[in-house]
Amino acid sequence: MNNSGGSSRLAIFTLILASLTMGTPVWASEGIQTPFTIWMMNNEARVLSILAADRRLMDTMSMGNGMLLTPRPAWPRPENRFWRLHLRYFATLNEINQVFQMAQRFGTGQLAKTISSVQPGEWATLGFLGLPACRGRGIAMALNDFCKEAYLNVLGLEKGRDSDLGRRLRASVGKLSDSERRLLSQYFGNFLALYPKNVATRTLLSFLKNGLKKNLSKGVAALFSAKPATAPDDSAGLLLELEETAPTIGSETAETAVVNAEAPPDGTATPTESTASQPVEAGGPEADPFNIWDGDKQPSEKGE
Amino acid sequence: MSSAVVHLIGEKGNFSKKGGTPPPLPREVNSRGSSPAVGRFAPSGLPSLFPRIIEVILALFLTIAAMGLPSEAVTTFFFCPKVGSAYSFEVASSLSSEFTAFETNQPASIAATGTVTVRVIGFRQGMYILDIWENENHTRRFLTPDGTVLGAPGEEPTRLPFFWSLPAGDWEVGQVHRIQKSIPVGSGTVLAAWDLTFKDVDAKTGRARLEIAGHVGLPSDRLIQRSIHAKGMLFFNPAEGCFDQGDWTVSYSLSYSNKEIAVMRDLWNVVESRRISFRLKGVSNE
Repeated sequence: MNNSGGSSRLAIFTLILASLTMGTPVWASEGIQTPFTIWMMNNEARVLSILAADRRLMDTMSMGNGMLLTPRPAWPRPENRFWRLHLRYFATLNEINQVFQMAQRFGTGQLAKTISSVQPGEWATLGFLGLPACRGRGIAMALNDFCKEAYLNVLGLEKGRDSDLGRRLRASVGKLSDSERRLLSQYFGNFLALYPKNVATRTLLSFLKNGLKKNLSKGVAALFSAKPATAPDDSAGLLLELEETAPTIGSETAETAVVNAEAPPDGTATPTESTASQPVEAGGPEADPFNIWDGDKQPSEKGE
Repeated sequence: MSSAVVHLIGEKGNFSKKGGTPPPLPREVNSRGSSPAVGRFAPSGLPSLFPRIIEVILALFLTIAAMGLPSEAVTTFFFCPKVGSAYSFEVASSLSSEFTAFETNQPASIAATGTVTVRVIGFRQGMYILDIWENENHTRRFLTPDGTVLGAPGEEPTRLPFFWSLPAGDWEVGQVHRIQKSIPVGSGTVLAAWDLTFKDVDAKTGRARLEIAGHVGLPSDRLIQRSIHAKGMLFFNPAEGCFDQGDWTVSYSLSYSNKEIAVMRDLWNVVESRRISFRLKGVSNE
């Protein structure tokens, strides 16, 4: 009897682990930030292309006398500061997406409960329990810990980084200065004015606005603790909140979401698949960073 | 009065076919800014007197016409740097640029000064052969008397500057000389133009003051608006046979927006200004 119960638990654990491992990887670049970053990269690519061509034309007009050569210093490119800043935005948004996906996948605490209940070390040492010289229980505990660490490593979870997702999120957003966050929020405002139906970006902003004020860490923190989470997460209520707020996030609230992103946590929140894993919504920009003219004709060909 | 003099035809004959023949003096060019066409392309053999007579009659006619005109009214200009001389120019360029996103902006500027040395190493087949150095930048250009660069072995043809040229004939004060060129950009071309306006001639020095205005026909629409304009002043020194001073500014602006359905939003703006000035420091014989 005991054996069959243990086998079923082991099977369930294996299934959960397989689904977690073989599903969308935690560190995938695709996520709720994708439409916005694609839009931004497309805009950057267009402006880079225009500036490169126009500066050549300016060079052409800069020395009209055939008897002269121009001193050619390394012309300053003030836009480079923005491109560097945008790279930091991309890194920040990517990290926010990682936190989001991690909270979505592990925030319920179900995996922590399963890991704690399966105890693979005890199963591995079951055959040696009768031997007097074998310290089966000690070995079992060590094996349990070893297996747990191995699972977490496979899932890409690091204790120092992920034990408090709220802290990680705040640290990520906190790398940006006030003016940089304001600029990012203005970009979001533009994006949502252009693509108001883009659910992925509205979810991202909703997550920044509401998720940061909640305690996201319970379920994930339980994975790193010796015991499973003692109390069930309040995920249902928080999911409902995200569901309700995400569609209402608009360009006017984008600024609040990003600028106030460092607000301290004041509750609990765990996004779920119903809102968090919305696919990239049609209505956003084309997801092709290399098609910089969106398949349209260039302005030169459009004419006016 | 000297400024009103029309540079008349010289004589030397067939120098272009034989490398050893000395090049004509700077003044030995006709009113179209080229060397004596009749003599240069006449077949070798017995010289024909008929073209010479025509030239003399034409010269007399033009001299009389020039004397009857008011001072500074009509002039002919052409490049005629002295062969064997080295022209030293001081060239300064400065750039200021600003990139703006919403109310966040990033300005930048830089300036550089250099000395350009131009050695006129020969005159062959109607072209001055110029050896040009700016620090370690070096090129060689073949310059026709009207200012057109016909060859530049040290430079990529598509990256050559859009050079000014001078009008072929007489140039009246206030008259605009327009030069147009299709400049390759990407897979297409854009049309660029320089307008040189003859303003006046300094009675003492004989230097002519020209106003210049440039324009590049950049494609623009409601979303992406961009423009390149240039404006400045030049001085042509007939005694030295070249521009001896100039100052102009090339201004650029780009306004970049996004549009989706009926919503249009500004995103980035770029404003850039390049100022170039040059001055002839001296001419030496080498």
